[in-house]
Amino acid sequence: MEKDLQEKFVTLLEENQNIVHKVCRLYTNNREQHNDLFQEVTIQLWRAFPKFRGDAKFSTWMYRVALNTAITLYRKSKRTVQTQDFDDVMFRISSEEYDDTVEQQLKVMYNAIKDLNDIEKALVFLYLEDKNYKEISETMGITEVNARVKMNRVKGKLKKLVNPS
Amino acid sequence: MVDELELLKKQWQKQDETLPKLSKEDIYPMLLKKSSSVVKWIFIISMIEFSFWMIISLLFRDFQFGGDLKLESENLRNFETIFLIVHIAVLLFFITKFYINFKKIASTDSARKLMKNILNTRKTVKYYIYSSMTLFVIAAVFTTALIVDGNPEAFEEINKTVLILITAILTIMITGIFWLVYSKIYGILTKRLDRNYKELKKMEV
Repeated sequence: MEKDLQEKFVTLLEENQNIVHKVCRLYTNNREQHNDLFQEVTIQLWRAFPKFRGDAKFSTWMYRVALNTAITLYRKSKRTVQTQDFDDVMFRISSEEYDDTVEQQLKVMYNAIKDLNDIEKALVFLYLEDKNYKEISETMGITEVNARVKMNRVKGKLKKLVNPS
Repeated sequence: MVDELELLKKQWQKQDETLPKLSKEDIYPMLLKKSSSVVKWIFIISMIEFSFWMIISLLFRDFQFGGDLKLESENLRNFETIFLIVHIAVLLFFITKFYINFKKIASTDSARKLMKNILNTRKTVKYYIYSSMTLFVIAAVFTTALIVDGNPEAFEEINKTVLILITAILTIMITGIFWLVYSKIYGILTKRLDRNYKELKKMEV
């Protein structure tokens, strides 16, 4: 029974692992921390899995646990300096599509997002993942209106950071 | 004008090929590892705090002054019994409350509810510590007063009020040091949580 549950869980996590990796990418600054957070999210997901009911989508449920772990439960083991090449990976595929200026702006934008506080970062993450405000508000535990207001403020803040003039 | 966030969103959704890929064989061993979450630390530290004050109260009860002082007065015994009952009642109350709050913590709740439940659990311990410190001060002062009262000949040349006052000040100072150490531990454990919870609450205004 336990083995079946384990098999089911590992299969689902393997299929949906990108969600956790993306949370880790946004909330950590190097490979070591990334793996550390991934490990903690996996433990939290596995612990909560027996109570997971099929009525919600596994991925939706995962977003919540992964973000909760990153924002609240995870304790960074040590402070480490960000390694530049780690984040650059995301922009490798962009160079073919955009000119240098746009690519540079995207990098500035991405770095600005990484500098946001934990909560703002979570909002932006869900926005980048194309989640609607209903899901954002339910994940964060705030009203839809407040999620919208705060998101607009964060967007404004980011815009100013990218285009200071 | 180009909306950079929209561009980034497109980019963000295309990053899959750059993400690490773990196999089932990589994931299985992860299930066996121990969590290092803040909730686990809160649980461990809280248990240490509960035990610490329990031991202090037991030590205090068995503490014997030297010399020829009469420590077996009826008043003193009555006080000790009442104090022990009160302390056990306080301890049981807070441990039950702590357990109920701790059980409520679930990573599947919304971020706000999860943070609120963790902070409430921690607050229970905080109030327990405050109660224990208060009881400690009361016990020290009352015990001194009762000992002085039961041994009038030994304290003949000393001003009783001054003696009790000195005891009170000393106990408050010792408790104050405990409080400083405690605030530090509490602060380290919940600093990030507090900040994030405030940030979420701010959105509701």
